[in-house]
Amino acid sequence: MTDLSTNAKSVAQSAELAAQIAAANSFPPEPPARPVRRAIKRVLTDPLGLLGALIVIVLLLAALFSSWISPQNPYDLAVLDIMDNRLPPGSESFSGMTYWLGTDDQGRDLLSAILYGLRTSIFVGIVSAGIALVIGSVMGLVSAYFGGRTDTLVMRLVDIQLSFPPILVALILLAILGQGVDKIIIALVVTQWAYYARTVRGAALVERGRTYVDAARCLALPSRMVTLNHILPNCLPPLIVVATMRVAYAVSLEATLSFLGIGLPVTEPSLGLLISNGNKYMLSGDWWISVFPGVALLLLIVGINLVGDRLRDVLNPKFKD
Amino acid sequence: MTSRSDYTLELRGLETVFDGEKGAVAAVRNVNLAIKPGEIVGLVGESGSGKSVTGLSIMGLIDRPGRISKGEILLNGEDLRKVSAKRLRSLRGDRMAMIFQDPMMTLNPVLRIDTQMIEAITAHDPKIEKSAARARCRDALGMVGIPDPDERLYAYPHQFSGGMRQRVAIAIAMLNNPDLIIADEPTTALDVTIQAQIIAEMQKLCKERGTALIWITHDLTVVAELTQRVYVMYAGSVVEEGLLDDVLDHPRHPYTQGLIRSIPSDNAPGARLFQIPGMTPPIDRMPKGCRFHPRCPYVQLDCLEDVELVPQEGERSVRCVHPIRQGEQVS
Amino acid sequence: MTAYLLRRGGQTLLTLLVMSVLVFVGVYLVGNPVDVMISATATPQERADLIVRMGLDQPVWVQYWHFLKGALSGDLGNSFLYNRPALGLIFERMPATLELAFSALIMGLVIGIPLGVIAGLRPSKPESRGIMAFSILGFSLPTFWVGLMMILLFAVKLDILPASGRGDTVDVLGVPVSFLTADGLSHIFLPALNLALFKISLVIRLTRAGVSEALQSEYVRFARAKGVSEWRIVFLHVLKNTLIPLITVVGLELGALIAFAVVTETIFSWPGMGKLIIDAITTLDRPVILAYLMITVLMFTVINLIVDLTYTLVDPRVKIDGGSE
Repeated sequence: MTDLSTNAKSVAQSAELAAQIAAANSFPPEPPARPVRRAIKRVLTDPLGLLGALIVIVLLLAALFSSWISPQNPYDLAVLDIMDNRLPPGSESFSGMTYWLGTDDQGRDLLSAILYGLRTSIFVGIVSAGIALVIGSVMGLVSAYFGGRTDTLVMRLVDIQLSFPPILVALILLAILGQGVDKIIIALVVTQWAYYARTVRGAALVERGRTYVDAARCLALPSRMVTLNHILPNCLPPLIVVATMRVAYAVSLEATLSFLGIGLPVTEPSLGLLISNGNKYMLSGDWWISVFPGVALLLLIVGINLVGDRLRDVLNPKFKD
Repeated sequence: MTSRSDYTLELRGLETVFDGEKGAVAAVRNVNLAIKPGEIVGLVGESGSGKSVTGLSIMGLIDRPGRISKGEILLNGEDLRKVSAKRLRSLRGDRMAMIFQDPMMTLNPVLRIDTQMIEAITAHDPKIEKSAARARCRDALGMVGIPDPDERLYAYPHQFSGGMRQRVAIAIAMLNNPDLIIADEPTTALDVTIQAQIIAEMQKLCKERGTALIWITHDLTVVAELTQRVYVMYAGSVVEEGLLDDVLDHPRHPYTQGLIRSIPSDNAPGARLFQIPGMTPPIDRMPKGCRFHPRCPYVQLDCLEDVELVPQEGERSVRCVHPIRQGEQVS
Repeated sequence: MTAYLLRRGGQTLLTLLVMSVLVFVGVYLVGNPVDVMISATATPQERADLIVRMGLDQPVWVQYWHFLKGALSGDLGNSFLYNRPALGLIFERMPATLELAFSALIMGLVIGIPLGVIAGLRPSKPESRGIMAFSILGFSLPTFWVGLMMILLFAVKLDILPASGRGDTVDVLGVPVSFLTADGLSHIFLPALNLALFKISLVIRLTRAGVSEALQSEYVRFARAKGVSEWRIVFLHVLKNTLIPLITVVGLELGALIAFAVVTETIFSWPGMGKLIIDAITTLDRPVILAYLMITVLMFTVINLIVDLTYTLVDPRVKIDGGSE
């Protein structure tokens, strides 16, 4: 009599037979899963994803080294020549320098102004998205972890926040706070944290229900460790996707507010303000003052979104932002 | 050819593949199946055995990236792989119908029952009077045991219980009096008592109307109650076929034997329930030769060679190098 | 139903109250509107008179109390800048903004839904990829810059459409509207399209996601098994399931359109509420800021309520009960 609950190989008549059968059935092992490396690879092998990544990297480098690579310091009034104002792209200055992208109404080299503006825009976008991410993630985790009344309170707050369009919230805040880099960062953080909170809470709730968290609890691991070591890493994929999209949105919103004249002050011009400056000359045909900063802004946002869109497909978070 | 009208449905060498990153993999290979008018056959197997794909292939409902790559599907002698899309649509729901597993998902949640029933009639008979179509729907609902059919026609699916929804689905399948119904685990999601009622009703209706019924299931007890013949599928192929009693009493394929042995019975209270060791292989990692050999208690070295479905005495076929002979069973 | 409406009404009042306190105190803390309003050559006496006249010498809670009393009788104070009732200014400009927002919403739906359906039905076809690329662009492009480019192209280079204003208007029930005259239509086309661009992208994505989800559903498979024509499956089974969730989004987006009209109105000099609020913010015209926010919040709440009620009408699964949500 044979014990039928054992594996087939043990019931095979001889060890030799078992070995031969096992050999015939062997498949090459699956490559080890490396989710992050795999995700990056899949983003970069997609032509649009690669294009987006290249654009973002080039613009980041340009912004980072703007003070070295700019032909002039656009905010040093001593080097500006008002005689050079509103020169079309490719014109030469009195001193023989070429304004590749033309000049603005104060005789400022537009290429330099764009590089500096890019730096400000990227700085505001990344810093505000970073702060919003931290605040939002903590709120989301707290909400998911404690549940009950805390959860209701936080989610109610999130719902109220999200039922108002970001631009309206930003308008109110800037009306109250006034202008300045710190002020706009606060406004952007307030308009964005709720997206992160909702994403993290959603992901954390799903993960919380999984067996391994229960298992960790059964091992009597302290509750904080369970949250951080087990839940947080699994919230990362959706968080990465939302964060990418949100940085793009923050850059766009900051530019919009600055364009409206209630965002960044004139002393720290971002791309939005440069576009706004050129706006009044648009109808008279001096298109380049608005168009070129706009193109830079556009490349930045489209680049980030291309990467984000691809990341979304690759990481496939089930939580919509 | 005399065989033309003998069978309601005949599958000859059906192969359905799914195109993936590493090329096409077959979910169903070389399946032959035949069913006569009024006959009820069971298509049995674990999940992943290809039984549902077989059902969908017959209906022409395989979506990309899947496709039927080989074989003939003869409905009343007409090869469905050769007919136009228009002709196939006109046959679907009219000459052949299908019932799906989850009654919660098969009815459109935002459309009323009458909309969903009447369209099954008007799709094949656009000129029918609305009142005549409605009357037919009402009769169909009454026939499957839904109380107040007149009123219930105006209800939405969420106002029905699971069992009632499945009855609605059955009523829809029967509306045009098809020659063939394919039922894909229609009772798996239901309570056992409801399951028994629905099985009894289906049996009665098919007998009355001479409808051929293919009942797809993983549950041999359902097959035992309902069918006259069974096809046992494993890893995309039929491994054994025959008359119900022959197969259940004297399984010749070790897999069939395993399935029968894993039915809980009251013969040996307290005994450990049998289970077939291992799992169905994924379709892209099929073992060589007999696909069951890694899980087979009688495996031999020659099981690594390919094996065909071999006809036996009686209405019987087995795909096994070492079929079990009567009396030679491990117990 | 009555209980439901009462509860929603109570929530709205509470939101309005909290909002008014926050904004009132917030605006109170920043700058002094007198500095903005008075000329640099004014004497200290003139300055003090103005402060008293505007009630700015009293403590903040007294000022708020006056505001609240006024608000209950429909008076949100006089604009510092125009010296006219703030509410009247808002109502004067509201029709223009609403006309713009509704035109944009209709454009978003009329253009977005068909494109989304096409992209959802045949996701791998080149036209679908094109539509999705367009929607990424629509999401990415900052509205204000696209508006500028539209003016540059259609008004400056091609000179076929006007760049600013409302054009000829016709009074309908005492409210001036642009869309009934050819000149008005030519004026509203660019701003509405500009405002709609983001919504078009959003509607495309939502519709596509809904369509592709519905196409993979069991009920579509069952409808195919019944022999129902592909045309009917798409236009009845798929579309109805796709459009119902879209209603919520569309309602919420109408609010966003009204808010985002601020940008479009600034670019196209459209005489709506948006331009008013931007001017009010830069001049610290507190009554106008408050009135704008109160009215906007009220509109949002009403829109949300209408959306929820519509939802119960079109989705058979949703029913309102008096108790919980």
